[in-house]
Amino acid sequence: MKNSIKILLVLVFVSLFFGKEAWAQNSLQTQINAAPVGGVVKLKAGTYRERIVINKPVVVEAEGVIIHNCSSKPAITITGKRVRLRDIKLVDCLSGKNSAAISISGSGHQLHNISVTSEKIALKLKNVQKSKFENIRIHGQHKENGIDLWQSEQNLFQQCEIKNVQDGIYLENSNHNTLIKNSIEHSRYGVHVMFSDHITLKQNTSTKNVTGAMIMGVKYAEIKENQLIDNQQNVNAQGLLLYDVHHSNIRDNTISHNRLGMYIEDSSSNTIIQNKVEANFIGTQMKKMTKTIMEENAFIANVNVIQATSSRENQIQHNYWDGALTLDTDGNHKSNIAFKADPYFLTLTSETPPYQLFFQHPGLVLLQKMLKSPDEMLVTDQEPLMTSDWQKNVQVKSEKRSVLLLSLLLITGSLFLLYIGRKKI
Amino acid sequence: MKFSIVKQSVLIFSLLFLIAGCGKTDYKPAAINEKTDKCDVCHMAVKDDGFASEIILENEKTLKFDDIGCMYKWKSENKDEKIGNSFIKDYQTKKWLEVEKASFVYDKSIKTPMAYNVIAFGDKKAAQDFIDKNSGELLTADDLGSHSWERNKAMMEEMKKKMNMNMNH
Amino acid sequence: MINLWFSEWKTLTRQRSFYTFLFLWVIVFSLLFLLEKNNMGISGFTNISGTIVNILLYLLPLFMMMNGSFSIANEMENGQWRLLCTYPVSIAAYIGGKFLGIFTAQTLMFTFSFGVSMLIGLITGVPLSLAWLVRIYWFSLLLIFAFLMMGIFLGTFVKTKWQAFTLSVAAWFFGIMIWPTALIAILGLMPYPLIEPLMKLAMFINPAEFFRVFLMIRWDSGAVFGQSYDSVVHLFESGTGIILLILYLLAYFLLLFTFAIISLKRRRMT
Repeated sequence: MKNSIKILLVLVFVSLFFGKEAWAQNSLQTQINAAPVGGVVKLKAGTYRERIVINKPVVVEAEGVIIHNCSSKPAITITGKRVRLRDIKLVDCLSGKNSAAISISGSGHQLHNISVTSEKIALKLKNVQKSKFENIRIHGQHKENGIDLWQSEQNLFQQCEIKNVQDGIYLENSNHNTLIKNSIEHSRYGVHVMFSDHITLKQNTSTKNVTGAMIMGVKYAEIKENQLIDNQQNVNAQGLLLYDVHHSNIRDNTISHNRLGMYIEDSSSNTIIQNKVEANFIGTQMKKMTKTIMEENAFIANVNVIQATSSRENQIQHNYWDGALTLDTDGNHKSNIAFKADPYFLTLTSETPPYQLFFQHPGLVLLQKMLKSPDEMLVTDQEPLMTSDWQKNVQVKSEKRSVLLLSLLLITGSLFLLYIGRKKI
Repeated sequence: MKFSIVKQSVLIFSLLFLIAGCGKTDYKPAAINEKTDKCDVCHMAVKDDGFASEIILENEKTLKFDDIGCMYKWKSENKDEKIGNSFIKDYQTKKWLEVEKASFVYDKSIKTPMAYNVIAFGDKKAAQDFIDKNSGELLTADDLGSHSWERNKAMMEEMKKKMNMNMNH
Repeated sequence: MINLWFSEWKTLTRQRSFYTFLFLWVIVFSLLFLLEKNNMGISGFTNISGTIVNILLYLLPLFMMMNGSFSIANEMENGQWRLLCTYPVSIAAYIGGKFLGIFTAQTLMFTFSFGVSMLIGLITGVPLSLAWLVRIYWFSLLLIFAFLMMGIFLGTFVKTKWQAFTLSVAAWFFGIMIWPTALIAILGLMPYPLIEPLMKLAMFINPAEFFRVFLMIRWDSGAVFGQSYDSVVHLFESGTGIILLILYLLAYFLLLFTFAIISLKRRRMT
């Protein structure tokens, strides 16, 4: 008797606990399969443990649907054309090298408001065209990329929030893609573009990564109004890295509080205009940069402003350097005294990296002045700007009260003890 | 007193030279630290996987590369540097191999970090097996010297196709 | 020793010349804080922070070494030392008292000036960050501590104030000004793999270097030193870092203290 009651209780408990799922036996896949081509399916809310395939043009609305996937295969596979999927939540419990939570191919898809928690690649795009991805939230385990594109073109990624992944958004061989207002943090590289032309990065925020944006093997990119901030913890950290980048436009970005603001190598014919490079340990380093226009940027509060080696035919002028001696005699808001920066530290440390310990060493500053490099090796701005627009509208942080308190404490404390000292014995 | 300090330091320095002088012929590959190592050419992080490669200069400075293509780019740009030995990871076993003794497979379908599409095998038979199973071209270390190191051929060909198509219009 | 400490403290604070330090520090810090005005109170390590740290590294070690070595050289010159030798005072107590006395007086003067400069900064409307100020303050105290002891140690070798002056300036010039130049020159002769460990060793030998690196790492700037120092950065950033600093100060102090005693004992005998 007692036993049967126990069993009954367990049954009740089980049905309560798994009731939703049992009720959802009308599986997601059958619901999707039942929808006509071009129709709308509203999936029943609940937690499911199945993998689904969407391979025809349908609108799938999945509010309140959570998929728990414990296999190494993708939870959702999208192929074909014009699939619309919205409001779904994915939780993966298994990792799988190179596998994905959502695997996508085809064209004209739209994914909206999707949340993925997975050790795998969250969104893997292979041969995807003209698709739109909005409000995708990704939580990773630093193992795989957040959104991974391979040979995919003309897609738009907007307002995606990516955390704790390897590379936030990784593009390889994928031209004409646009990334707007995405935010990536605590990852390896925020945005990583490889061998993809005509890419637009606009108003993205990349913080606390090893590298904010890593752009490699790229032509005709537009990198505008992005915020690359606080990428400074790793020994190789930097805000923006351009390697083998040509004919691209880097404009109005805020690159601040990074270990290294901008690093540019093997790149040519770019325009770098009106960026704010602020409070980085090293503002900008350039190697083998040629035919680049660098104008109207503001370099503020960087410990070491700019260093360049083997760079020529660049047009570096009209930038604002806060450490420069400036004098404007003709009233054109440009200084008559050229700003010059010595590459000594960069040369020294690229030959022998351990000498980086001398960063900002008082003696090295002196040595650099004594061993002044020949003029053609210096970064020279003939007409630095007197002021910068970036200086205006800055919120001044001040801890007046606590500073006052500390100062009074120091003064009274030391005065008292000085007095005692004089009186003693 | 001061004189003895000079003597001592001379002694220490000569000792250091002695220590360093020993075992110079035997270059050993250094382990990859995924957190702090970056490629000396393309600045990407070097992963401890089947693509990493390494050059040890005669002065025992170690250079690390995330793709063997980057290593050859470095070699072509720094011809006057004295190389002690160079190493590459076996694609399958992920163990260090001497570049001179390894066999290589090149195929544009092989994805490598910098898209140079070349991988290495310690065993020639394993390389041949890989080619039989997939596709590719078997290369020796000597062949690599004259290899074109054209990056990312797949994309280039696609672009050519597109350009041709545009022209045909 | 306590008596010596208090008497040193008392004599120093009663000297009028001692108060010139007040003017020096107030002027230096007020100007440095004014520099910070352009920086909108950024509390991170910026160019201004770098400049301030460098100016502290130029000034404090030199002044403290001169202070320390002069105070001993002075007593050698005016015969007070001979007089002291007749008292039943141990050399350890003599040096210890002297160090504590000067350290207390100098720290107080520095603290007072620092506070006044902060006040001036506040009045002139410089946005100051508390964390930023505290870091600069303790960095200065570390420099005062280490180089005062160094000065006293140097003082035990000299006979006149002039010698003390030359020796202090020489030590300062070597330890601060040409330290990187000298290291680069010497390490250039070394085989490459030894450069990294020797750089680390050199950092521990020179307290100015050790404090500078420690400060920058604690200021979240350790990554700038690059791959070779990643382990050092993690060590200094952790709680063990503080213990290490305390041990370092202790070891450094005891080492110089012992050598100073030995050196003075030799002189007492002659």
